[in-house]
Amino acid sequence: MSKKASIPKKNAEHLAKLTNLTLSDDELALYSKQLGETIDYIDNLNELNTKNVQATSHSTAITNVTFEDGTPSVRTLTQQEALKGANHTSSDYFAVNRIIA
Amino acid sequence: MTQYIPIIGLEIHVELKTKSKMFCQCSADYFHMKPNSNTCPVCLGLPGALPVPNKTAIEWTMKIGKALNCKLNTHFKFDRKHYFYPDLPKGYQISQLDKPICGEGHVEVFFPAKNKEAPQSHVKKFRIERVHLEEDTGKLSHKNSTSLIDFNRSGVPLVEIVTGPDFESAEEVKAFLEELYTIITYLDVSDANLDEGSMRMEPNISLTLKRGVFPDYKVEVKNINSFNFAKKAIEFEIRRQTAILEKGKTPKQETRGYNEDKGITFAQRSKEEAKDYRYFSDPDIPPFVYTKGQIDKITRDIPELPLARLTRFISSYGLRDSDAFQLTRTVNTAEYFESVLNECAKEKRKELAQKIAHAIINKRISTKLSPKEFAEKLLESLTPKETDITLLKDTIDRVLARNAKAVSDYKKGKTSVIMFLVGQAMREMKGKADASMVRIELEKSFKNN
Amino acid sequence: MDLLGASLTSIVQALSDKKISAADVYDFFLKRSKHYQNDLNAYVTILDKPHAGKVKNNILHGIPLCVKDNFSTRGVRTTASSKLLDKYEPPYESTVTKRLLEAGATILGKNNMDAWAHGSSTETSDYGPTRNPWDTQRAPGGSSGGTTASVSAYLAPAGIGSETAGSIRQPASWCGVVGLKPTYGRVSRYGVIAMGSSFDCPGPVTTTVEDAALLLNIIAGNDLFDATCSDYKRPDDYRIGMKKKRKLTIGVPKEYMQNIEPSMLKKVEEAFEVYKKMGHIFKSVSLIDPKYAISVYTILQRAEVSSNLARYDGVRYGKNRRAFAKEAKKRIMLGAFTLSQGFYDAYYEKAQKIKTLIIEDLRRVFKDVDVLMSPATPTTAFKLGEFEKYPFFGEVMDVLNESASVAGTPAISIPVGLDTKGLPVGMQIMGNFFDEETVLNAAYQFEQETNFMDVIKKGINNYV
Repeated sequence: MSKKASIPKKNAEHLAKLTNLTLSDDELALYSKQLGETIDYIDNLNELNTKNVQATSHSTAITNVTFEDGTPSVRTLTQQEALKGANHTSSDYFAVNRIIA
Repeated sequence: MTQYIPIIGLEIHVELKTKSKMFCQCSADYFHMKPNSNTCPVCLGLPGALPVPNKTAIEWTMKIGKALNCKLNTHFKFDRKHYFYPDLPKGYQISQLDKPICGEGHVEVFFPAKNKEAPQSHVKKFRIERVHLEEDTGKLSHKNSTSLIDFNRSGVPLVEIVTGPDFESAEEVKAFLEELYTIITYLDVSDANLDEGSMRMEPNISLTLKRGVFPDYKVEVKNINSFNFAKKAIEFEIRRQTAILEKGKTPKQETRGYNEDKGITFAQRSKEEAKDYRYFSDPDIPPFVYTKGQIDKITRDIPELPLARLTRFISSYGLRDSDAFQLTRTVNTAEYFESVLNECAKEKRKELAQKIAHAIINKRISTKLSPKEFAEKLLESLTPKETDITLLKDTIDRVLARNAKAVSDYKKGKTSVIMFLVGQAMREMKGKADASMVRIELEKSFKNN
Repeated sequence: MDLLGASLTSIVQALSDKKISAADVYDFFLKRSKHYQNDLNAYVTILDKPHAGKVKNNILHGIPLCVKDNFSTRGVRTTASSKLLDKYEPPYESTVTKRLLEAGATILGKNNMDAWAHGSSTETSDYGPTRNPWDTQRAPGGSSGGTTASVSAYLAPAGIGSETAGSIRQPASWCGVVGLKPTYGRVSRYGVIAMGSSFDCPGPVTTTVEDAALLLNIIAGNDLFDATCSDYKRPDDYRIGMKKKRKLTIGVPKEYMQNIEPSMLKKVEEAFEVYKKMGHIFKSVSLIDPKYAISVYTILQRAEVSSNLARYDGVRYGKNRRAFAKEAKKRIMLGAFTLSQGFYDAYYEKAQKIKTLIIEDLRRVFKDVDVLMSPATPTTAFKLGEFEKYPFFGEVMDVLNESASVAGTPAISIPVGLDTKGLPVGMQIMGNFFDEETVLNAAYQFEQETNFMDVIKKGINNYV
């Protein structure tokens, strides 16, 4: 059943870009192979007939969950708490290298 | 010169003025707060934080949809839209893709009669493709080689309105945006202020030779923050694209920025990769199922909208198109007009409507007065004044004596100076004179002297 | 009081009776935790001073607990066992730990886990693997391996873990302790570093069933900060239903009794005999082949995992994305792949439909039986390093657990004996939606009849 297909390296590069990961050539090659294996793996889903079946998004069938606008916030952080974990800050702000465009 | 027809569509974002943010209880009124002082684990995207939707934001989106004649969906959900940017804390924006709150609709825009070229007023319909709800990002600013991020705005509810590619000129776009602004302020769900960023818009523009035939490119323009800049940017784009097409080339599909100082659009770093946002239903937010009855109840209390109101003003009160249009630009003015009218005797309303309209529009009488006081002042100004002729003649003598230069000007032929003298006399008479009578007497004086 | 091996319940009682002080209890477990940290590496952070909060209803009288390091603890380092969060201190408390602190518990340390919960052996941790107390050449299971190892070696009287698909039950089985996965939505996920948002369930890891029920009492229930948390009615005290004398109808899914290590299977079948002798009825039932649950889980979980890791960009906290280790990068890539390429349309919706079939299948079966029973895992503890051989190690290892995870039904793993290698064998008991009571009841009855604490104590005795 296993087709051992592999995904083109270009596709893996594209995915790495989309997910903001810096990968080595070895890693790209490995993932290209593993992505292919994924397809084999999940092909067996087609063995089951789901013709008149509804998709379930939430297993406990909850719907319409909201909060009332204007509920007092008990979670708002101070500026100090918000900035505390950052690697780079500049007075009141989080700082990163200049974004172009 | 080939005549190209512009095809313009708009993507508009409106910040809702709810009290709380979209998915947490932080304040949505972030504008003047100290940077990064209005965040919580949810809107800062901390590990483990979870979103819970704001009920009012959903209800207001339905109201906007209703006001735009949209289909209001009974089943809708939120999706994750993934991309990386420092102002997007979760690495995805919670938005709506295939099951938005509102589906297709339309907006009719009233174009008042203008001048000889457009002597008739007319109404044009523009399609709305969808109205959905999402969250705003943080704000990025730049300082030398650093970009600074403020997350106070992150998570504020944002309504996205997408129009059909139905606009053919910058004029139409401007009129539409102004109408949309009016509708939204009628609903009182947003300040919809382009300057402050509570309303943002991005046009996409292309040109065609034949109506209905869409070219295979589209240019998006970003960073427009006034109605006038929108007009200028679109006009510039139309010229720019025309020039390219005239050369037999096709304009590049791209996103361009707008430079307000130079009045031009410019190419931004081109993003060649197709955007793959990897949308999927947000598993943290259970879906929504409303009955039609529930939706009707929520959207019931929408005020009479601008177009309906102006149409009614024209037909019920016989107002001129442009005056009805002016009066209905804000719901406060429209309501004030009718309040003043209702203070007048029923039989007189039709006759007074136009005069009240003018007094309001031309600011002849202050609208800070109560409607009753306004009506009284108006009626007073319309009553012909009893004029004491003797007092008038004395006054005129005094005025002429004091204004020798004006008198000699008049005698030299500068007859328009009489208005100045009328004004002087009226002042002296403390308004207790009929203006036309004053003028007649003045002219008599000159004749006699 | 001799603390070694004492149940949480008995220590709480002693604290309440003032037979022992909270400080002494803390000291006892702190010493043990520190002493065996080199051997077992069960913790990422051990706290010399207890992490405590404002006590609202003092049920637990200062008892210390160990907590998996994916629960946000305010001001206390929380890493999800990833170097990316090496220095991260949350400015807020998770709902689960908040409720425990409000009930008077304290937190003694943050347990090692598979980094980002990606794994079934606690070997993908950036802080080194945790070792199985029963055999330190073996893995404790994962991803809550640090928690189950801590409880197994009695470094803490009980702990809190989380399960996405097997991450409580499987390591509980491998370490010979009690591990409960509540119904999805029964316990709030707010503050738990997300792995698979539609599957993540916080749950207790204990040495007795009653302890699990006691902790569930405190942590279960609706939370306004978690939209997926259910307000479905719950008993005030799960221990009451747990203790009821009930005769149960027990279903054994034949698909779940296949491909099990023989000596494991033998122990589970012996456990069935115990139930039979007690008068409970057994029925053979059939469920959808668990392999479909694997595929469904794989697609849905990977998409969610990949998405949930998108927030780690190093701007507001933690290090940048270069700090992700191999397994995390792999899962991010696989998840992104599932969501792009039109896979979403092709497989995601299909997976959600099969989820419906799995849910309906379980609902159908629970019309005829009260609980389902099977081995909790196909094998007992693997040796460290063996997982590398299997590319889908986690998902295959959890095959017996995945249907309950996909459906969201509750399940518990309890120790029922030792295999021929002397390693703990876990049996799982699965229940209907929101029926933790019956699950606990079935487990409790077995415990009372056989006192599996004897099994557990064998493990603890290695750590005296």
